[in-house]
Amino acid sequence: MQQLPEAVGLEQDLITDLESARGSARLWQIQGSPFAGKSSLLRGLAITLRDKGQSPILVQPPARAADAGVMAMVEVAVGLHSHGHIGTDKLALIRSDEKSWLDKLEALKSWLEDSAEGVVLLCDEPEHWHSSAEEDTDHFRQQASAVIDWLLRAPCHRVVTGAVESGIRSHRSWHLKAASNARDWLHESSDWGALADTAQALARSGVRNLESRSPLEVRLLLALAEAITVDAAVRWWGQGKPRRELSRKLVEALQGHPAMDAVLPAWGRISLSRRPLGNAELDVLDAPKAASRAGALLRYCLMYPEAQGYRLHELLKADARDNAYWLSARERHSAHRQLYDRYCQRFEQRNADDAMLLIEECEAFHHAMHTNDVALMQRARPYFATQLDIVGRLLSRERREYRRAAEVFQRAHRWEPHDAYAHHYQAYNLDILAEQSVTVEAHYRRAIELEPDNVWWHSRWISYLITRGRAQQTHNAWLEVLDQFGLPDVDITPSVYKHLHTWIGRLLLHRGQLDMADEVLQGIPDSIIQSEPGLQALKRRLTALLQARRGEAFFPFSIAPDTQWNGPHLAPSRQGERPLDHWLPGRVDAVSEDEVVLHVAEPPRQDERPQAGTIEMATHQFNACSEDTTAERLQAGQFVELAWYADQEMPLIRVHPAHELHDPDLPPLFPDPARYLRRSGWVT
Amino acid sequence: MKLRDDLFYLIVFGPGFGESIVLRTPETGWVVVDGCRLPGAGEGQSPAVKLLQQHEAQWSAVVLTHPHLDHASGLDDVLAHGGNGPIGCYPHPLGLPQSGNTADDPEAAYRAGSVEQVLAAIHDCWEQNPETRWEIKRDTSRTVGPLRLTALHPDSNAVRQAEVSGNRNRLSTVLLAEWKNCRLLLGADAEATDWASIAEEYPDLAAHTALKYPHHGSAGAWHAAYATENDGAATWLMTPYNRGHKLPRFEDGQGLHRALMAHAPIHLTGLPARHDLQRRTPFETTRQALRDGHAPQAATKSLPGGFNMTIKPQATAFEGFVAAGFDADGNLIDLQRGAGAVTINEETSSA
Repeated sequence: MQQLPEAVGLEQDLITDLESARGSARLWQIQGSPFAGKSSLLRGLAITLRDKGQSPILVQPPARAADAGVMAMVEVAVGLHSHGHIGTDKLALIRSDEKSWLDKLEALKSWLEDSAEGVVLLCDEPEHWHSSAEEDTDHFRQQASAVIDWLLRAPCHRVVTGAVESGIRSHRSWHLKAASNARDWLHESSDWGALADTAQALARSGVRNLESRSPLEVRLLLALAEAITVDAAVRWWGQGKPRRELSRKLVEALQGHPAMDAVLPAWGRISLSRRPLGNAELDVLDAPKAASRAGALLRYCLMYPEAQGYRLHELLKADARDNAYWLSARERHSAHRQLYDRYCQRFEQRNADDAMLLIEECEAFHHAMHTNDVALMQRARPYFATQLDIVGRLLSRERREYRRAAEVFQRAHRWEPHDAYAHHYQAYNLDILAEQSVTVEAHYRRAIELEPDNVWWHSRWISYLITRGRAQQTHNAWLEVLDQFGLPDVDITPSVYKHLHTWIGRLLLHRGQLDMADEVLQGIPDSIIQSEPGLQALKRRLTALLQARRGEAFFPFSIAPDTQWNGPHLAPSRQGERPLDHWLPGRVDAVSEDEVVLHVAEPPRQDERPQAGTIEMATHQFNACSEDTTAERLQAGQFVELAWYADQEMPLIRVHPAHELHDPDLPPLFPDPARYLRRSGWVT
Repeated sequence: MKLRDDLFYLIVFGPGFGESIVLRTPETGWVVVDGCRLPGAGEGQSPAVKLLQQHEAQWSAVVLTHPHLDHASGLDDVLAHGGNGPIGCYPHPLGLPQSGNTADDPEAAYRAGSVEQVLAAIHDCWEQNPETRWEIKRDTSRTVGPLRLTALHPDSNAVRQAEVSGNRNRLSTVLLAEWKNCRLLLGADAEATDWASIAEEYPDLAAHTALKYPHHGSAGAWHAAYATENDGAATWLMTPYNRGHKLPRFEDGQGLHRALMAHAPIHLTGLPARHDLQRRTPFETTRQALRDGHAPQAATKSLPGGFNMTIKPQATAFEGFVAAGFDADGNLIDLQRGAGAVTINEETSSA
């Protein structure tokens, strides 16, 4: 098995430190690049410490997962149990559906305190436990942060990889360099299975600058050599390539490779698992057999072996995500189903006092949620309301089953009455359906009470008020939210403006509430507007709608207000030899058999309003002047330009094509603003 | 605008596009029927809200006669201004213009969104306070103190016909407002066919103190039921419509001519175009002078090719309005006209 040259020394250093620090709880920190081998080091450390009679607890919950916080709690409970620090009766508390997650966290704290002597927490990259910064992940992030904070301050020895928050000081910190004894390692036949010959050829090839690269990169380069030949891989590698390019090149090489065509979908299916997989699980997922070259590439290059099976690097999971897992949605659901069945099978075979069943049941729950099988989703048993929140999110976002989602969120906040997320999303899902407005309002308000600094809770509540047509209440709520966040504030995170001003401004503009839309958009610092095309689009729309409200709509939306008078936009600046003399923009007010009525404007002098008026012309006159269409085809509401050229009496009339607005920057309107009216049969 | 405390007022705003009517009783009941916004320099304000603000008043009833932008726009501001009382509307899926979200036309987008906002506000008020709900159908009524509001239209037959034709004007609410001996007939945009049906149920339509003339004086709105056999003492008010082919038309045989043959004078809240006598109120003229374009003369600009650009008025808060104050017996005691208003007679010009 490959030993990282840096890691060997570091581990010895750490063990010495740990042994000399008995009696006083300390924190050690290991930093380094994302693929320097920190996690491997931590796993190796766990084995060494166990062999030395200590109680290492490896906390390695699924990365960037909404349930990472509660899964870390489960791992600690399992660890304490496996080292005999707590009994099976305590596990029942973790599984209880009557206790809140905070009750469970408090219990864990006390258990850990009672058994701090001898326990070493090994926390792998806690900064990556947070789910990614999506619109509604604050709730999960906060929960994970609370767990991380507890773990990093726990009264026992702790080793943590990656960054820790600034308030926590480590006793000692190392920086693990990304390095491998690549040539020696490639000669280790036992590490490469059926690819041993390619590995040795690569080692002999004279490939450059491999020693300073991480094990992951060595594995990927070997995979590439297997896919496109060693010579081709070495030529492509040259002096070395970044990891992402290496992945991209490998994916490209595997696509359409006759002997490797099963690798990519297997890679995708494996990416769906959050835990290491044994050969039995790999078989369930239709991974190529270990004895085949494709199977070896999968097991020894893309994955790496560890005690519990094979693990896929998080970066390679991200590559799979970027490629939609090389699977159809149905194939993804099916893979989740296979994993669900497998985990069920495993935990059902365990004794009740085997703590591993906790993790396996949670994983079964996770995969059940992604099977697209509602019956299965409803049957799965959660340990935490957080898991219900995740189910509700999935039902709402991916399946658009808003009613069912609202029911799940209701179940979640009945379990956890302080779960602001569940309150808010019960309201939001019912609001999307335009149902139970009394419940909607109660739970929108409750979420704000529980978590007043969540900008989304305010944004959706105010959007609801706009939707309902409550202008005065909307304004009051707006003033409250400005106070809550101290807005405007140039130093506040721009996401506040994006989540609050964008959505509210968009809906106000749709509803013709222009004075308040103006107030909302005026509250955004210019620096934010300059960097947000969506906000710029809203500003443009506001100006055009204000013109319309004044009866001064002379240009389509597609002509930006600040360029409107830099026309003409359709008529040329010269017609043959004749230069443009004069032009008027306008809108068709009415068309009849005999007459066309145009609503036109004189370009304004500086700081003046355009002078609006009407021109009535006979249809034959219009037809004689129009280059684009005839009066018979003209429709009220179309925009026109009239242009006079030197020495010409009759104008050239150009008609803007009647097309649908396509402004990719304009934020979308969701949910349907007319939903309550539609539901009541007031609109179709 | 100063109002006498002892009179019952019919105040009609019609700045060019749209109309909004305010009824004020001496008992300080304020009823707003429809909304409009002030164009140009008026910056889209709702004149009804300005009036309520000026008198530190809140509304006692609100009615949306039909969800066309020229009647709905600005009513959202009225509802938001505050008040308590019945809110009348005939909700129908025909009501909402097609969404303007995908159109490249700011006016279409503004129109669709504004009407949706008004309907949403009414829908919400009805849901929150069911006692405010006045789902307008023929012969339903509400009282505001001694003022009684009765809906004369639409009936179920008109609704069916509107569904077939798609003509939303057929859904227009025609209101009769009765206070002591005053009877105000508010015609919304009801057309002749509807008036025939209304007259069958309410044969005494001609017996009114004042009439808000239907549908901006269009030829199709004229009907003998309200126009003939009145005693000549009634006050008729009309609002213009300055879009498209514009209303009222001044030519012989058109709507204004027919109206004036039945009753004169008619007080028009404004003209579709800016004119040379703007602000010289009270301005009186004849239909013929308007038809011939000499009293007043519309402000125009000559363009090459023999085209004329007729300049649009720039209404501010209280230019395009007529306010008529009546005593308990229905006598017109106070008549106030905005700077853009015109009083029109037939044949003789007093200009």
